[in-house]
Order: sequence, then structure tokens, then C-alpha cells
Amino acid sequence: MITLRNVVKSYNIDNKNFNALDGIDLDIDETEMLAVMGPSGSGKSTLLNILGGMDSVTSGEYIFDGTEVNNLKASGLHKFRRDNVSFVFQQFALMDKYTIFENVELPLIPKHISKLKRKKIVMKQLERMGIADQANKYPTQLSGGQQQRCAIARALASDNRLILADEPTGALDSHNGQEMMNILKEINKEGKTVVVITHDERIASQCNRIVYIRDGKITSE
Amino acid sequence: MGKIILKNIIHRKWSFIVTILINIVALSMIAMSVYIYENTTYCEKIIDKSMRYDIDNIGIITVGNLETEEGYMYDDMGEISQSMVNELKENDKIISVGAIGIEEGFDNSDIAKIQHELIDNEDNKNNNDDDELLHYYGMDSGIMDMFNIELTEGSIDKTIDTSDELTNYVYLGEGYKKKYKVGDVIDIQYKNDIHYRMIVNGFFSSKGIIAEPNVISTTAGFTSDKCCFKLKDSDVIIVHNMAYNGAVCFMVWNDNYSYDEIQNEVNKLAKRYDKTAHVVKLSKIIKEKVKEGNEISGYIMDVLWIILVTAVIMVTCIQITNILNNTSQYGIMYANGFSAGSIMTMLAVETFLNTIIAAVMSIVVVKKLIKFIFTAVTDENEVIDYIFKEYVIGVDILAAFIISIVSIVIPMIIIYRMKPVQLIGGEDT
Ligand SMILES: Nc1ncnc2c1ncn2[C@@H]1O[C@H](COP(=O)(O)OP(=O)(O)OP(=O)(O)O)[C@@H](O)[C@H]1O
Ligand SMILES: [Mg+2]
Repeated sequence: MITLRNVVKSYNIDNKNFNALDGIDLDIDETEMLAVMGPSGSGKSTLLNILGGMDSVTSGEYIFDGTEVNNLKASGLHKFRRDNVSFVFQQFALMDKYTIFENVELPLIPKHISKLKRKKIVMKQLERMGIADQANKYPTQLSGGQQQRCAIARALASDNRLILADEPTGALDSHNGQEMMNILKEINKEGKTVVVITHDERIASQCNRIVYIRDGKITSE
Repeated sequence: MGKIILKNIIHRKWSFIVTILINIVALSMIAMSVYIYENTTYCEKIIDKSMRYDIDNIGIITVGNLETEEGYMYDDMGEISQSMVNELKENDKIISVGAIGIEEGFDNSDIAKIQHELIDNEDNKNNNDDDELLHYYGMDSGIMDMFNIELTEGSIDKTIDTSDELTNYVYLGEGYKKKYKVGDVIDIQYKNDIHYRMIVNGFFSSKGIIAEPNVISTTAGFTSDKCCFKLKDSDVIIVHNMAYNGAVCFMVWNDNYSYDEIQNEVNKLAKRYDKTAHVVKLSKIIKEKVKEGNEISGYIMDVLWIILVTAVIMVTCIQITNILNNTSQYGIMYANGFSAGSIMTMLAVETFLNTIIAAVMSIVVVKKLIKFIFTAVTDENEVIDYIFKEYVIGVDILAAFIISIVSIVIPMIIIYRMKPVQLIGGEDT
């Protein structure tokens, strides 16, 4: 489903070009659950942002299901992101001022889904994550594990095919972390493509495949 | 989307309120400046509007030993005779000519007594307000068509014979309509020995405006809006002859002829009567009178720009702080499928909502304030309403749009130039 060919992402720091990604070749299958590992600053998050259409490549090809994402302009990239990608972040990226319900509802708004349908979808996902009773609370009133469940509920609500998780267990204890992995594995079995960035070998080993990145290059699979 | 905007406003209520306050102060000052500016030029516009003809083709005739060519001081004006006016009426270069005098007075003036007599006949006592300024216009039949007087009944008759001083043809305000009709003869006994006879020739609507000849014909500047009178339902126009005391003679000439030709024509005529005559263009009189006002207006315009720029800078700063404090929200929205465009629309709607609320509030506040301050001095409620409707509201809303648009530009550029990734980075902090 995903093909990256010689992808380079460079930043200009002090007038010098710095390649955060330096010629990445990677294929990800639809059914896959992929772990990305590597030292800090190696380019893992950069890779994930490019996969998710949050950032554009400097050079190289990114093909998603036949679409040349690397050639998409801002509006095309926005539609690509809206219709295909869901993110889960280490710090949950929930909106503090919005209730749990409203946070999960968020990705449905740009999809122009009716209010009634939105409510159904949100409640279904909250129930699945076991936090339906927290719907009217605010993120800060929830535990870390509950917040990450909310983030997952939000990712599932949009029903997008690609789930990108940047250290989803990084802010959780090992028990909650493992629970999160169980949920992600379950989602993967239901047919979603999952890419997980992690520093934790035990987490990575539960995925179908692991790629290692160092200095913006894939070193081994 | 509307819900998100509403939530944003509620969550940033303090900065929203502060922004509204800044906007209200700025827009109120703008509204006030516009009012003062328009008030100084009000006379020019309203006189222009009150006339049926171009003010370049209207003039005032002075007759006598006028030395100063430029001036139009009437303070020792010689009287133009009825026969001179009659000759001018015959002249086909001249459309209308005649005198007009206006008297206003409170309850105890002669005019008021006559009018009260009319009103009393009508059993319409509620018009007998002690404060009510009653107007009584003495007008030569030859000049009635110069003003934009809208007759609802009857017609203007330029050939009315006004030689009998105790028999007058009158046009009445709509307030008299219930009691009288066209053709009625009203006999009024006044001071026991004088009998006035009034013949109703028509009725006029209260839409008309009559330029105040006493202001126009003297050196007094247009300092107040008393340069015109709006016709009222209780007003009376009496078709008068030239003997009317203190009358000012207007004329309107055919625009095929130049001012010089008309001046020559009038001079030739005056010579035959052993007099000199001078025609002063109405447009010139107005121009001189508003010159002073224009200088004040110039300052007001400068002040207006300073206020606008200051408001824009302040609102922009608040917007920028707001946005920098909320980058994570925009980042999260990006990551959840919102487009840059929709996020910017959201910001723009917030800003516009703010300034529009402020504009509406400032208009209400300033209008109340102006009515409070100025009606005590000279300005009439009607004038204030008119200037607000025609100018202040429009300019204030326009200023609100300018503030919104300009203050949103920099924040939008900031958002646009920030990568979604950077925006979401704000979440960690
Ligand atoms: N916007 C940017 N401008 C300049 N340099 C950047 C930018 N974003 C990332 N980098 C650099 O690119 C490199 C890769 O960053 P990235 O965030 O992908 O690392 P990472 O592998 O996710 O690290 P970590 O495990 O600490 O999250 C880093 O050296 C970082 O400093
Ligand atoms: Mg990272």
C-alpha cells in the first residue's frame, strides 16, 4: 500500500543542509503492523510525519495506494490526511478545553458527517475503549492510560486506514503500555495498517516487522 | 465549525473581551470623528439637497451701493423693489426669482399666535407644546419651486396676486389636513382690529427642507446645523409679496447662461432703477462658509487615521499572542483532517465577529452620547439621526472591516508558514 523511494527530508540549519531523512526506501503492506526503532534524533518522527502527510518530502517518491503523495499540493495533502490517516501521539495531543466526547468527535467534523451520526460513532468508540462514562469530562481529569484510550478512540472514529503512532506507550506505565499494544494489535487484525514508533524492544517485538533507523537511513529490517 | 468557533471564544473570553473593548474605543472614536466631520459639512450637503436646481445656478441678489465686489454682506442691504422683481420674472433667462423670509418664535410671538389660532380651530392642542418652535415661511410665489417642497395637494402657482396684504394664499403642513382642504377660506381675527384672511392653496409633506436665508445671507459661518429647516406638519407657508420684512431675494437662472451674463443682465436692470446690483452664487457662499469647517475636518481625518492604525496594531498584537498560545490546537486540528483554509476561516470569523459586535456597540453608545451632549447645544435629533444613517454607520462598519482584515493578515501568515508538525509540537510545552 505504501512505497517510499529514495525519500530525503532536509532542513536548512545555519545555512547548511541537514538531511533528517537521507534516502529512505520502504514498502509497507496493507495488513502490516510495523515498528520503527532508532536512537533519538534519527528521524523516526520525521518519517511518520511524511507518511501522514503532515510534512512534505524534499525529494524522492511517496506513493500511497497509487497516489503520488509527494506531488500533492496543500489542499490535496489535506484531503489525503483527512481521508486516510489517523495519528496517535506520545503526549496524546488532546485539546484540553474540549470534553472527551468533543475530542473524539474532532476528525469527523472536516468529513462533514451529520451530528446524529457523529454522536453514534463517538459513543461506539468510547464504549469500545471503556471510557464512555468519561465522555463529558475534560482530558486533564483523566489518567494517562484513559487519555491515550481517548486518543485511540479518536483515531478509530475517523475510520482511516493508516494509523500512525509516535511512541504511543512512551508516557504510560508498562501495564497501560501493554494494554495499548493489545488494542493496536486488535485494530491491525481488523484491517488497519499500523506504524508504531517505539524505543521499547518488548513493544517492537509484538509487531510483524521492525525497521531500524539511524541518521536518517534505514540500517536493518 | 460554528461550535468550535464559539468554544474558542468562550475559552479565550478575556482576550476576546479585551479585543472588543479596544475595538469599541477605537470604533467609537471613529464614529465620533465621522459625526463631527459630517456635521461641519452637513450644511453644504443639506442646502444642496434642499434645492431643486444646481446651486451653481442659484444666486442671491443684493441691491444698493455695494462697494465690495467679493463680499455678500447683507447687513445694510438695500431693498429690491417689487417692480424689479417683476421685471426679472419676465426675463426668460431667469427661471425663478423672489424673496423668502422665515420667522420662528415661541408661544408669544405674533406668528405663533396666528398659527395657534389655526391649530386651535383644529382642536389639536397636543401640538401646543411650549417648547415647540413654530415656523412661518413668507415666500414669494416666484420662488416656491426653487425648494424641494413636495406638495401632497394643490399646486404651485407662480402668478398669485399678493397685493392685498390682509389676504394671503397659504400652503399648510399635513397637520392641518384634517380640518382644512384646498380652496378653504380661513378668517382669523387678530388683536380685535386686524382680520387676516387665508386661502388654502395646497398642502406640503414634511419631507421638504428650506435653506435658512438669514444664515446664508450673512457672514455667519455654518457653525451649527441651523442652516436649514425641515418642514414640519405644523408649519405654514404664506405666499407673500416683497414687503415682507427682512426677506432675502433668491434667483435661479437657466443653465444655458453663464454667471457673468446673468450678472450683466441684473446690473443693466438695476441701472434703470439707479441702483447697483450684485448676484452672489449660492455655491460660492457655501464654499466660503465651509472653508473654516474643512480645516477642522482635515485634523479630524488625521486623528481618524491614527486611531485606525493604533487599533489595528493593538488588535494584531492580541491576535498574534492568541495564536502563538494556541498553536497546539491548530496542530491537533491539522492532524485530525482540518485544512489550513478552514483553520484560517475560523480565525477570521472570530475576528470579524469581534469587530462587528464592537462596531454595533460603539454606534449605539456614540449615538446616545452625541444626543446627550449635542442636543443640549444646537444639534437636532433629526440631524443626528440623518448623519448617523447616511455616514457614521457606514464608515464605522467599514472601519471594523479594515481592522479585521488588516489585523488578521500577520497571524494568518504566521499560521501558514508554520509547518503542521511545528504546530503540534506546541502540545509538549
Ligand atoms: N523543523 C525542523 N527543523 C530543523 N530540524 C529538524 C526539524 N524537525 C526535526 N529536525 C531534526 O531532524 C532530526 C530528526 O528528528 P526527529 O524528530 O525525526 O527524531 P526522532 O527520531 O523522532 O527522535 P526522538 O526519538 O527523540 O523523538 C533531528 O536531528 C531534529 O533535530
Ligand atoms: Mg520523535
